[in-house]
Amino acid sequence: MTTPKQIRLGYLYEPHGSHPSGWRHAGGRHNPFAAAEIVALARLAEAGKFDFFAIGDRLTADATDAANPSLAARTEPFTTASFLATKTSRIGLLVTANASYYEPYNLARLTASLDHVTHGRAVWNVATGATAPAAKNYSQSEADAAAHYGRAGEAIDVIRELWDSWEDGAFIRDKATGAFVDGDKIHPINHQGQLFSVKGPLNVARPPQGQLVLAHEAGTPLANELAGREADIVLSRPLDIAAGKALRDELRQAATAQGRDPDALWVLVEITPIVAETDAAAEALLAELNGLGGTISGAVIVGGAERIADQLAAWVSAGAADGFVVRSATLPDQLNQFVERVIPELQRRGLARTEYRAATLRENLELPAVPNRLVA
Amino acid sequence: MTELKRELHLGLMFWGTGTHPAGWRWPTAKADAAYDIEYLQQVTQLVEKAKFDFLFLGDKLASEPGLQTTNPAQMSRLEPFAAGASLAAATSQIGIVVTANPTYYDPFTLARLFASLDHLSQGRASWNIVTGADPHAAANFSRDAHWDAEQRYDWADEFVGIVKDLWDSWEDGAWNPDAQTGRALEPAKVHALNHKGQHFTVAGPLDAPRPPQGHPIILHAGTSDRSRELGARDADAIFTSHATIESAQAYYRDIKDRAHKYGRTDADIAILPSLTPIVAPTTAEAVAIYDQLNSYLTLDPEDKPEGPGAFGGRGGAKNRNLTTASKAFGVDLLDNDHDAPVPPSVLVAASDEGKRLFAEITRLTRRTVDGPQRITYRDLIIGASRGTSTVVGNPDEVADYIEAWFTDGAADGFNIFPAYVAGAVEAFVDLVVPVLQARGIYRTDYAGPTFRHHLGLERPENRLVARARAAAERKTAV
Repeated sequence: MTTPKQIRLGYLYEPHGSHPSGWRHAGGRHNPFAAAEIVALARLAEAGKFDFFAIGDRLTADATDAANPSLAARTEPFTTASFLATKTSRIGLLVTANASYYEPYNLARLTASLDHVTHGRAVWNVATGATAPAAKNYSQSEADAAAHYGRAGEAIDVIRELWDSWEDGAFIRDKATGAFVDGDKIHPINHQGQLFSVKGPLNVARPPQGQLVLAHEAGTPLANELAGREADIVLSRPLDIAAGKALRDELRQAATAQGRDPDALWVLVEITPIVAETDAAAEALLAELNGLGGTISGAVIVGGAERIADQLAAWVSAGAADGFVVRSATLPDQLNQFVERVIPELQRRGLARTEYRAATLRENLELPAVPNRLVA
Repeated sequence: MTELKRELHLGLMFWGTGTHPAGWRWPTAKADAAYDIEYLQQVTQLVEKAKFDFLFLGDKLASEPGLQTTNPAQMSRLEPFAAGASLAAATSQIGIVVTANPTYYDPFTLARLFASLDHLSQGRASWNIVTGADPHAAANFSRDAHWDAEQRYDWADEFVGIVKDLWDSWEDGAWNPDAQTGRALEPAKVHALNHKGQHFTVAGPLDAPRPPQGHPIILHAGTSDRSRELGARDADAIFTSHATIESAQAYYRDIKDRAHKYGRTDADIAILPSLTPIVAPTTAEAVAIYDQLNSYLTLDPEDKPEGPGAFGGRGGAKNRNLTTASKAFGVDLLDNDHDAPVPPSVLVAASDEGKRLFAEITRLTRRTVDGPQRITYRDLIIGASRGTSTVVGNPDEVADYIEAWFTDGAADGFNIFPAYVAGAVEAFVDLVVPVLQARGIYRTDYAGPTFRHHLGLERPENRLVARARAAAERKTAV
């Protein structure tokens, strides 16, 4: 008998729940502007030994529908993650940031610093921002997806070099001699590209993970290509196992085509498990939520702990997923239910970890250390 | 309503390795403090216990190794939003000042970063607006050239207005989730900006409800005319740096007078000069600390090229050698032993500025050219290259200095520069704060939970609501 492969688990923090009426349900009383409540959710996910807690982003607000807060308001990812950094100790923290609306030097500083304050638990989820409304908040005209991906690709190159611009060991800090740094280990990058010219070095020491873990959402040919080239974590939204298998195969091929080991790419499926004590109770809960208005987008599985675990295992054994990004229909209740009921069942089956193995996310995800690209 | 008693404001300029260029070499200093967030949190908690108004996180958008002898703390450190949010999580009352440069940001991004920090910290966020005097930053941000001051301030003026409007794009009460009615928000109270200006096109609204403070506190620093105008119009507090009380008084009066023309009162804007306090139980011990810190400075060879260092920065541009000192004092000081006493004839021959520097050295070290403790040539080198306003003394002497500036129209408070961390912070908190409290000029507890409370400022009216009301009144009048 072989040991089953553990599945990777991320948690997607959606401030109002993944069900459009989740915020109205008795299980959904989360206040997304009360830091203590966000902290409680992150700690819950950490208690469930999730690999990471993901903070999404939108660069626009649509506040025209009084019944739908999910498009209207949220806290900003970097400040939220940096706040959570102090209140958690092992779980990874994923920030979504859009390469189209940041200067690479600023993004490199923010991400590197998040990795420092988390002691190596940061993920940059590279968003490319093809939505027209965002451009209208940023003094930009609408650009096509290819332009956004071109910018993202160059921004990633610049940011990776800036992360490496301070070698490990650049600091001497010798009080006796007064030597604070070794200037030979601090490098300008002198990037001159299509869109950016960035001299460097960064003004932040090399991140604890060296290179942060990178995530990207798959789905389009451009997205799959970028994910295959750069991502350690791929977020995907197939609706069923067949679609998931096809997408995962494509992503693994994209990675192979880039000369990467496809097993170093974690393809995670976004999924909303509706969890209750029994299958019937879970089905009743979903009916109750739908009765309040709206339905959940994306993959949904419904049941007690065993049925949920069966279905998650089915996705993985069919080759449709390396793991999942769990969404909660209501907050905090459905996260609570998942951690209390489903996680122990996955652990019992050997599908989920019972303890974090290492201090950094890179190590917990079993990703290799990355050599400094500016060191000969 | 009784008039509020005027109260001293204190902030901590937070450079983890100290604001003295060699502060990291102090025996108990933590040389790697810049990246030790737990340590930075402990120091923040220390000044929160002492009821400081705020913690100040500076920023610099370029780096190079040469800064290690002039500004090691500015060379490499945590980005201020990441640091600020992490420090907010470990504290509950102190204001968190984050420096951010509009020249290299978008208004929508900065508006949401500060709104979010204000929500997460429950009303303790503050934006220190700098427009970027450092020309080297341009090369990190795909700019062909460093913008001149006019261009930076034109840009900043429009930028700041947009940020304030975005904070106000949600009226108070617009966000009010009610599970019973199924209404999470009031669309009629959320407003698009549809701003189309000279530099920016911003649709809005922001993706967050109005911050707890209405507007996070705005700080600004600068001496140019454009900078003073921006400060007088938009800032709640001004950072400044002055070598003498006379220049501080002139600056103080100028800013307050300028603020009047924007309909603001003296109490609406706090002027906060920087101050490096070197304090110990006795004067002699304080002077010994000052001398020991300066003994850690790396002196420059006499043949080092003159002029501002590549990256300049605070107090970092001047060479530390006798060549530079000769210029500053107006006397040829070359070829003297650094430890030799300076004869009275040098003071006699010194320029007016040189004589002022002699007096300053005496004020700090208590040494003279003819008394029992003699000024050395090394003192002259240090005296010619010093950058920050400093006071050295026992607790009463330091408190006297602070009180004089506070009562004589030079300061509403101070941004305290800790020469070494945490020692200089501990000394100030333990030795000086109780004296200021005993004299009744500094708080013994916070007046409320937000930074706005600490500064005694009202929550601002919503600009969009005010404009709509004014427009409606004009209509009625017609």
